[in-house]
Amino acid sequence: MKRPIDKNTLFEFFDGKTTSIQRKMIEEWLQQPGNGDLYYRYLDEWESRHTQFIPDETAALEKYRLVMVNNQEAAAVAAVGKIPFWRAWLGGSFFRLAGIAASLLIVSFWIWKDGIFYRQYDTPFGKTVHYTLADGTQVALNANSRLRVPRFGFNEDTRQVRLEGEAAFDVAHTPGSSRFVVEMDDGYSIEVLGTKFVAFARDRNKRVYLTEGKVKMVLPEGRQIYMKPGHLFEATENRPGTLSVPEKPQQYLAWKTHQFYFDNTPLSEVVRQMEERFGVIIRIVDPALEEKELGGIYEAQSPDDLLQVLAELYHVEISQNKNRIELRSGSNL
Amino acid sequence: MQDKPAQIWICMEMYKKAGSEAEIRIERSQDSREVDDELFIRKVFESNPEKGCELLFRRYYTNMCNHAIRFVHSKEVAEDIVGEIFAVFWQKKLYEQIEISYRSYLYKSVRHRSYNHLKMQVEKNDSLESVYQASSGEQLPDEVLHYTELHQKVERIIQQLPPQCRRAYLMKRVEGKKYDEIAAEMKVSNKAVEALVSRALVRLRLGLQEDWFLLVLAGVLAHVENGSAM
Repeated sequence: MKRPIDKNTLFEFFDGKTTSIQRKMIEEWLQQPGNGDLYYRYLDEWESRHTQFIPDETAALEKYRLVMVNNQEAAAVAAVGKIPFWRAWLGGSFFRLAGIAASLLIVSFWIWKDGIFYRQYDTPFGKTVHYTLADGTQVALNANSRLRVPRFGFNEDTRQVRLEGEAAFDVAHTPGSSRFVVEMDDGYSIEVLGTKFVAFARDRNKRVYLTEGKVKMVLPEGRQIYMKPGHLFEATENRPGTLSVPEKPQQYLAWKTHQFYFDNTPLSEVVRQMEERFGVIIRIVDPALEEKELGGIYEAQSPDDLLQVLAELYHVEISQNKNRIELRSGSNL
Repeated sequence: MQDKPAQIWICMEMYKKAGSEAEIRIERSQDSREVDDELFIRKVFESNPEKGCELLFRRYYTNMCNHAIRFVHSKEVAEDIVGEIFAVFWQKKLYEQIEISYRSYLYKSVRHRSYNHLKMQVEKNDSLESVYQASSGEQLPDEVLHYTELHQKVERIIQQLPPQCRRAYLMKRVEGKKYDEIAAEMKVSNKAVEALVSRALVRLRLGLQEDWFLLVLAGVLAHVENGSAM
């Protein structure tokens, strides 16, 4: 009979003191059901005896409690919405009604508190606005975008803002090296210490281009990616996110100088970018026109500036009714 | 509200007691399969998942951070990795799928994530697709052992660095100090510190690249969180 593998053998293995023959024995031992778990039990015990550092467990647990509570609040709001109206009025005992009233109170506080606790920066269509936040961070907010900054405690532990739309950040370094976090919809966020980057967060996708420093992207379900300067992070609804090194990063920065950057960009995409920036609705009537491509850098303060270019390049006929614009191929094409 | 922490503390005490009893039983009989030292936590999860998560957190957080730092050599990254594992555990209700033990799942996750982080550091070409490459299936015994051997290798490489180089690396990575702080402490220039740290990283990269481990593991990595969470 072989000598069974025991705790000592595994501890020696964790210490890096086993021979290759012993290692083979451990490998065979691991194949038996139940031993896999025993392996981790011993590993845990070994870690207890070989502590290298003591993390701040209390602070981490506080943070974890917040994660759990936030998740539950989302669930509670959903549950309130599901109770049929008549049942709340007719079938409800006093306690149920009281319960509902209490949840409504919580929910409405949840809604109001945004106004109380946060300061909101909005940019109109067609305008890029520069802000300096309380910590010295410079933000250029692209048209049709919104940035929410807490009114209280912004300068302390974590500087947390929320972005809908597109913005360029030049994050100031604080003496305490506090983190700067940009939250986006759908569970994406960016964590930085001090750095320059451009973030794009609209429904169709999320995009971050890093020009300086180092950031950490936090993706839905807790995945994370560390970015280096020159990296572009992109995520769409179907793809959770990939990193690449774009050859022509100008396209992510062009809007800061009221420019559009196109590189063989199909007109359908050109039109979409115009809609986002200027708040107009543009319809391309001829399908053939949609596939035409546009290249170059164009400065445009209003939709007309760019429409003028299209008209000249592609002999496009433009008809405009307030915010609705239609493009069709010109007769002389 | 005030008696809540106390309540949890009592639970914790009971759990610890249950754990030590289980330990004694292991010493006596070799048949470990019957011992279930997580029974108490399992019961708590049935009635109150939030408390269950909290108990697991208190029980394993410090040890898991200590395990992660063996791979990633950064307190901050180690804590991030472990924090996220627990967040996902709650958000995706993974505790409902645990069949063998919470501990196995948590340790597998911490190794997997730490490995991914290390791999990104080591691979120069930044090919990040592999981070998302979610291969499924169980871990082979050989792989289980490789993880341990990997952090031993990392440790060996760092031990073999020239003393100045090692000192700068550890201050920068593990303690998270800034270049000028390290420069002041070591009485050298900022540039010199940068050079020392980057030399350490290059050594680490070369040392691990020549190791077959990364090559072998890249193909067969079991993605514990997507696969059967056991």
